[in-house]
Amino acid sequence: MEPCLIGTIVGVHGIAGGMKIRSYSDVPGRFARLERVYAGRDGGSVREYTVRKAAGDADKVLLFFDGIDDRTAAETLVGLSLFIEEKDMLPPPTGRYFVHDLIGCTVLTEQGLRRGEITDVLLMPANDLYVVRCDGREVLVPAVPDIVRNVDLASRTVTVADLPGLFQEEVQEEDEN
Amino acid sequence: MARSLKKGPFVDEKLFARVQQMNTTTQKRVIKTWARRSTIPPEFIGHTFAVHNGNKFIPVYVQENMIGHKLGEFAPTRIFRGHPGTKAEKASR
Repeated sequence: MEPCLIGTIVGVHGIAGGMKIRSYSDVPGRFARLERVYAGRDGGSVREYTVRKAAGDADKVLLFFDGIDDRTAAETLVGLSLFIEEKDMLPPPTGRYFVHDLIGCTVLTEQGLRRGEITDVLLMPANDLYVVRCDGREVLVPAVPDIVRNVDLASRTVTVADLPGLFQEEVQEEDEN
Repeated sequence: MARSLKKGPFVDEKLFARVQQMNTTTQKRVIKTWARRSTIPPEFIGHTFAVHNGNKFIPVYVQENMIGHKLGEFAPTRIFRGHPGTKAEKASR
């Protein structure tokens, strides 16, 4: 099983074994449809739990597990991470891609020129950035439709617009604002 | 304390002139800038700025909802990359 992190238990709620969850998942309705989950400090040593009830969505999620029926039992699980199996993962929203799927994809220009390989994805306030390893240096590519024209996960390629100044280090005095 | 309305928003003059020039020629390229304090006017929409964060240039593609904010708000000087070794159900774009 390759575990996939979906959240962390950050606290308890009420006296019936409710647990507050900090969600790391970007899939809408992820916890509402959850039936089985693995809890542990890391992906290696985990224990399986069946979800009895789930409430809330996005950042505020409450989970109740079978066998965890009171506050004291729930308190023992605080701090543990929640994982699911890779086969239980839901598809991301349309036009969005999982970070782990994008890593390793080849970046091509619209003319078919190979620019490099995605090594990381940075989630920034304005737009996500693809970190592309290009000729031994790192280039940041904004993940916006005007620049990233196509993502083909089947062929593991990402097509980007060849915007001047994006991949080439152009030295221009007037740029120094 | 907020900036006086009498003065209007601060926009870096050299940067604004460059964008105006690119708008008239309908040319597009990444504009390198250190002007993190510059407010984003509507003329900047659709342009990509490489904003310096003290270490490297962070590409910022300007969209309509960013008007009135400063360029520096979109190029953080500290980046939390998450805890190592965990594959999360995180989606991009």
